[in-house]
Amino acid sequence: MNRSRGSLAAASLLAATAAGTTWFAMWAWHGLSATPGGYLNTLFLLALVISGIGLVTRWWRWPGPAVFGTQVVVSGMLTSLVLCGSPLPIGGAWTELRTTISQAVDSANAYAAPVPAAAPPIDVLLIGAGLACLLLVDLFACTAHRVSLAGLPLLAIFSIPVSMIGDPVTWWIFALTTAGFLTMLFLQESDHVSRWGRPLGEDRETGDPIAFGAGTNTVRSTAGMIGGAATALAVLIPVMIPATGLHVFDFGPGSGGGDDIHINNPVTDLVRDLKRGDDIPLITVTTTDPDPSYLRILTLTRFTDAEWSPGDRNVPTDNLANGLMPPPQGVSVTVDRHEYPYDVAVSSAFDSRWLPTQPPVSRIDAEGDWRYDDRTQDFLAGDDDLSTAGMHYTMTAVDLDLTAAILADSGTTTGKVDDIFSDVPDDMPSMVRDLAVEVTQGATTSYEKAVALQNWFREDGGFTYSLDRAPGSGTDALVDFLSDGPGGRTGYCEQFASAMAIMARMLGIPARVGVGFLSPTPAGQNTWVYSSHDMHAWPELYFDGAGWVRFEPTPAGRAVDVPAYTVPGSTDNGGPTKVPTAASSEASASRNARPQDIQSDVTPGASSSGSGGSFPWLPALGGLTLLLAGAASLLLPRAIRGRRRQRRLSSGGVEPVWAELRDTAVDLGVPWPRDRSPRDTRDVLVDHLGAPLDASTPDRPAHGPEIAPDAVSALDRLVLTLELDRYSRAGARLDPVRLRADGEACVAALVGGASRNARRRATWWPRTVLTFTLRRTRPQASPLEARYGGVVDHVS
Amino acid sequence: MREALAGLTVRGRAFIAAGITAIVCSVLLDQSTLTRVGVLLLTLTVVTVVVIARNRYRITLVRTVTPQLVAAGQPARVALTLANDGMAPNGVLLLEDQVPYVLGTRPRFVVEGIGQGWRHSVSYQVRSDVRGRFEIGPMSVRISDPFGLVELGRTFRTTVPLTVTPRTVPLPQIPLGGAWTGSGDNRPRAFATGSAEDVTVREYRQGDDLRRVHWRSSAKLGELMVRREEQPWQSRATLVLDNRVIAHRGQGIASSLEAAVSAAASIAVHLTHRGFAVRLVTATGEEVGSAWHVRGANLNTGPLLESLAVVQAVHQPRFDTGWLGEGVHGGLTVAVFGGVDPSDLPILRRMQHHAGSALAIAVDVDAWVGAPPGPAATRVLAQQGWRSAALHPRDRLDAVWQELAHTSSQTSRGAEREVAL
Repeated sequence: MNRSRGSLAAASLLAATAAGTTWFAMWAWHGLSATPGGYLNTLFLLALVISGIGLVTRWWRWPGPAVFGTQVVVSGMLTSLVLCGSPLPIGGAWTELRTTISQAVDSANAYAAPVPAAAPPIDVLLIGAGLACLLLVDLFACTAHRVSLAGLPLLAIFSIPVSMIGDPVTWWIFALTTAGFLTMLFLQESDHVSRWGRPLGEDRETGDPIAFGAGTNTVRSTAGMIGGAATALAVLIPVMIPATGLHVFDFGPGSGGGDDIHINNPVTDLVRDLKRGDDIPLITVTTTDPDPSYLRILTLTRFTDAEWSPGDRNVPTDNLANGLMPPPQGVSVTVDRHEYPYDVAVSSAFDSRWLPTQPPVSRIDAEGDWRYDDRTQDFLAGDDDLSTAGMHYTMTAVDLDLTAAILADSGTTTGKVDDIFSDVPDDMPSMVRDLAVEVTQGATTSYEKAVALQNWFREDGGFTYSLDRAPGSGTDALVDFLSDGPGGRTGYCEQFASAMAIMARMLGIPARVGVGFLSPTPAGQNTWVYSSHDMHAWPELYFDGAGWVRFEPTPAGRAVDVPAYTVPGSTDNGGPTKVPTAASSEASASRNARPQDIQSDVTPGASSSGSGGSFPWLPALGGLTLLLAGAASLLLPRAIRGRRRQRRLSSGGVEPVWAELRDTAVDLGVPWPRDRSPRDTRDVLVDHLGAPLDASTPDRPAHGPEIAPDAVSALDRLVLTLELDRYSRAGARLDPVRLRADGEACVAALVGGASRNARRRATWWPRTVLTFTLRRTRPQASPLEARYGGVVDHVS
Repeated sequence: MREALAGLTVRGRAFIAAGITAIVCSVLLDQSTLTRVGVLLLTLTVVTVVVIARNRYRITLVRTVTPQLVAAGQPARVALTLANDGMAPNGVLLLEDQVPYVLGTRPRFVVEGIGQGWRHSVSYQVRSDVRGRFEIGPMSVRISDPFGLVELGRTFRTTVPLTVTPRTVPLPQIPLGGAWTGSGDNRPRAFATGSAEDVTVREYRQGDDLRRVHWRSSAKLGELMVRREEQPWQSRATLVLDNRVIAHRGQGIASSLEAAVSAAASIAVHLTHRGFAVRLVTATGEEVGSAWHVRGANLNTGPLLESLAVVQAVHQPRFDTGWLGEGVHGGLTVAVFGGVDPSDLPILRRMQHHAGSALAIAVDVDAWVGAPPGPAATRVLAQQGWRSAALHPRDRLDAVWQELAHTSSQTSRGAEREVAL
């Protein structure tokens, strides 16, 4: 492959740049792991080894496949040494490698990025991918001399974080990688050029110089200029390109078979929305319900060591959200109920594959393939492209008048609900169970136990509401959350809900976790707005006769009220009642989310920000820019041409007027002979003169010297003046007014003699403005000139 | 700009296509990283095109070849002087001189970073083993950008001819019968005693007898003119080269025609050095520019060799004999023949008849394609009255020439005898 050697310095520079660029590009993965050093250090070592081997073997002129093979073998052995302590993954090392890989895969599946330091590291996966990219880049750029192809592995490196966590690559990583890639291109091209031409030197026989020696600094600076400009534009321009709205939820059915759909964990996004960013209005509901709350997006049913997840769902195609729904599960017919119509408008910023509903619903009408699971009654998009963004739908929510008495009377739940709602992992630490038993000591019924748990979380247990806690709902996170040590008993709704649900399951109460919005902000008559800071999670426990009942373990700092039925002895039948605890009124001032009662004062502001925030500013701005650019490109040539004509005609010189005449002719498509005397040009031109334009000018007006005698005489005067100016010793006596009048007459006659199409083209698409070759290059169309024996030869 | 766009390389076009695809995909898929990649590819290409299109350099080239006439195998030197009168080009200039491949590799130069007023000279050697007339140049200029995205080609128009003459060998002096007979007389003769109108004049030179001043011409021209009362006569020789395709065998540089051309060139040089005015005649007739009167009596062999350098095989069954009719009989005729066909015999006889002395070298053309050496056409030629010797592939030309001297009288006599019989 490497026929001629070239210089070692150039080869090593290219190899180092290739390896360095690839390694830098891998910084884009730092968002995947909490400890990026774990893979970056190893990959740095691998990059050194791969480029070194490539450099040496290519210098020894090994064939390309041998170079690549050596790189693969040596770097593979090194990777194995780093990962499992043995250069060859055989025997114990093989087992260890497999364990590491499977743990890494588990971590990758279980945790959202970045994978916490405590979890088994996913470094082995990143190292594997990085090794492949390093090898490919070195193969393309150095061994095969195809630097352009090396861009593909680099693009693959960038696409991994984008597809995994949706974060764009940081601009400085992008800029560095781009710089590296462009350097590789430049190096390869320089190498190509140096191979093409003759090296600097002297003829051995005569001592004559045999090459044009000149420095390469100009080219290097040109390369720097072009590359720098392109990189800067690439960093800046995408900001202006319209993008679709932000993704609140970006999860959906995976590649499950049949109707079983595996769903990624959406809860991780919860804390992101609570913690970061502005409070974006997401959903507007119009309802007669006096107090809408708890808009549920989905239900988490399965608890594993790692997390709460939606579990496998069975969504048959006939469970469509287009009509009546089955009655709520397990609710006794004796329970009083009210039905409220809901009219839901989802903003384009809320991109979810789950349909928010106010459970339970008796009727729902939503466009699209929304399906519900009988067991959970949450709605999932059956179609990959389906999303809630910008949706509008109606539903009828059932408000059950549950009372403490109904719950207290509930019977056994055995066999009433699916077993998945009672599953607890076998390896659950006993500490959780002990705590659950301890807290519910003295409670006899399921209802009392549930209330005891809720009160424990809210008041007695010493829990603190804080968003600073890392997201997580798995076993480890649960134990951390429940333990009474430093950093313990602190968390936010996710931890409270999941902990209560799992403890309820341990006490024999079927439980699940609902995810959705806590409480809306009123925005006018019967209108309510849910915004991103309202995101919430809560446990739902099953009681026979009452169905799935919502509890609120999150302390009053976040959730002010508890459902009325969770206060034993309450006999109020008037629906969910606010029972503010003593702490709630004090805590409401320090709430993260805006307190409801304060917000009612700022209703108009909230509603206007609701409509304003959802307006896609960036696309609109981009579209406006495009529109302006389009308009400018339409109007600008015409304006330039008009200004140019004014300037020339009023310049007072005969040459500008003549040039204007020439440009007018060219614009109109009238032949203008090149390199002819003014008189010859005049003879050609008179045939195209016509009467000045007026309303009755036909599409193809007649033209010729006899049509426009005035213009012909004006042209003659102009030609005479030009000839005097050019050729006579004294020069012409210039009369600016006369010149201008003659010039305008000639231009008008030319325009009048042209067809309508030509006139239109000359107005909107003046060739003299838009074609640079006519103006610029023709005067110097011979940039090269050869001379031999005193004869000068003009060469283009 | 348009030219620079048209000059996009495959890489440049691929970058533009990939960039547009990436931007469209990124807008559809909402991936800002992909947007950046697309914008990078597009802007890189567009900025490069703009930069290359803004080039305002103006390069002049002066090229000289010394010597312009060179024997095969001898080197000639091409000197190039390059200067930039315009702005510095912001790219790499790749210069390649379009030298025919038989003259050697095409010299290539990389020029970069030349500012206004830059001037530089280089030279390189060319050498050819094949005779012919070659055009050196034109020089092509490619300008490319540092990333290999755009490449523009331009070409100087001027070329310089280089004539590579056939190889010659010095030949021994041998008696050339009939050289001083017929019209080939080099003795000054008294001017024809005609009327005064026939008088030719020349400028007065110091030492001329004043009595020979031709006053009428002097009065007309305003300076002294003298009558020329004697006219230099030439020793004339005709060199006949048979370059018909049917008379030769083999292809290219190893063909028998090349041997015949080389022999003819040696003979031409030899005869010229012996004072003959030589004209070259090929199967297509008298070579333009090598007629006697054009060249005069000088010893310049250049035009002859130039003619021989470009002699090509012709598809022509017969000799063109137009040159036989003009002029006077006699003089020396030296011919280099290939294979001789029976139908050529009348022409050979006429040539011999016109010549005062007819010598021929018969190239043993069949030996050039592997046949054993034979007497070639010498027998037939002898029958037509030629003094001839055969040239075999491995023969030295000077030996054959010498042989021609030895066999001359014998063969001539034999021929005469046969004719007499």
